[in-house]
Amino acid sequence: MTDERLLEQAASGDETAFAVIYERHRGLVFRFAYRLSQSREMAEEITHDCFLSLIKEPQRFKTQEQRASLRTYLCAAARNLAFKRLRRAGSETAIDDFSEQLATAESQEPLRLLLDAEISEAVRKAIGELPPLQREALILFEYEELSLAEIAEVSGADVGTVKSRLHRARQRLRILLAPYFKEGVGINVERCRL
Amino acid sequence: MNYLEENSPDRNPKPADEVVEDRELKNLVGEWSPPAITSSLDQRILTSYRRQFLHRPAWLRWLTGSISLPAPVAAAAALLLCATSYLAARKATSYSLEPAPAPPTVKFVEVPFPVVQQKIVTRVVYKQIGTPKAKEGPAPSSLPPRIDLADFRPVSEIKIIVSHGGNDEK
Repeated sequence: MTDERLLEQAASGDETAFAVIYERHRGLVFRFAYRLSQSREMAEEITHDCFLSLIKEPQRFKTQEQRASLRTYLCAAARNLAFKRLRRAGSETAIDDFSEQLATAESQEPLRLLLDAEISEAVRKAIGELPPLQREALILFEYEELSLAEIAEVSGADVGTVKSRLHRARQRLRILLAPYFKEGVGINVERCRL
Repeated sequence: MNYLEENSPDRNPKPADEVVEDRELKNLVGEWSPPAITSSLDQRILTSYRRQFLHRPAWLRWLTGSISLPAPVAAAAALLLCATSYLAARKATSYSLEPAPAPPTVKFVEVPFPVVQQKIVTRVVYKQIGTPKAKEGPAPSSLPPRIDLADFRPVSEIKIIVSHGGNDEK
């Protein structure tokens, strides 16, 4: 059964239909929210609010039905909720902090990089240091494997802008995670610091 | 400036780098896995759903419920509503221009009505039965008087006048 039909039934009180929709998309919404916010509590709140708002106002999805799938619609809803919370918390990364943070990343001990947990933590930190819009593009592309067009729909930007954000996010990650790559990084670090 | 946007000078990335998969980077970022979704979150969301829909009073569901209509049907209904409203408004305006009819007043007028009265007329008819006899009293006064021709003289010339249809003709 399609997402649209299930949503219709769920919106009229069919709990089973809601459970199916939730089961299908909860992973995506939670992962995306978690990677954006880097907080389990916030990700749970976002996931909760995201699905509840979908049920409260299904017509908002229906108006976009022609151009968006439920997957991208949920991602967009999660993104908006995450950014709202991040803005409220004031935890978004400012561009001015970048050089300092980059220096910290470069000074990490190479021996600790061998530990998987440490690598995971380093990646988490590096992604967390990306500006929110770059972070969003990177997460949706690298983790959730959305197409550029889908990411553009989610973020409300055009494909060119998404490409640009993704490119810059990759470049920055390359710098931040440079000690973790096996071979030398073919990126001009000085250029990226500008 | 939008706080979410980065003011980076490198606004125009190389086209070749954008969509090419960076396998090395992908593998590295794949090291970071999000935690599993807890059952408490599932339960919480389902509970919220039930509270939202199943425990909502019927009147509230009725008030906030929505129906979906095909666009042509909705357009036709809107047109019909507009036309009906327009006609009703026009009718009301035309009525208001005419003076309102005065309430009927009851007026009692005394009209003389000729009453046909029965009148009894008595007439006495005298009927002559048989010929009157001379010896039976005097003659009735209605008999013509007797003409005396003692002074009669004949005229010397006779003039004949023929009268026809009331007009005199010679």
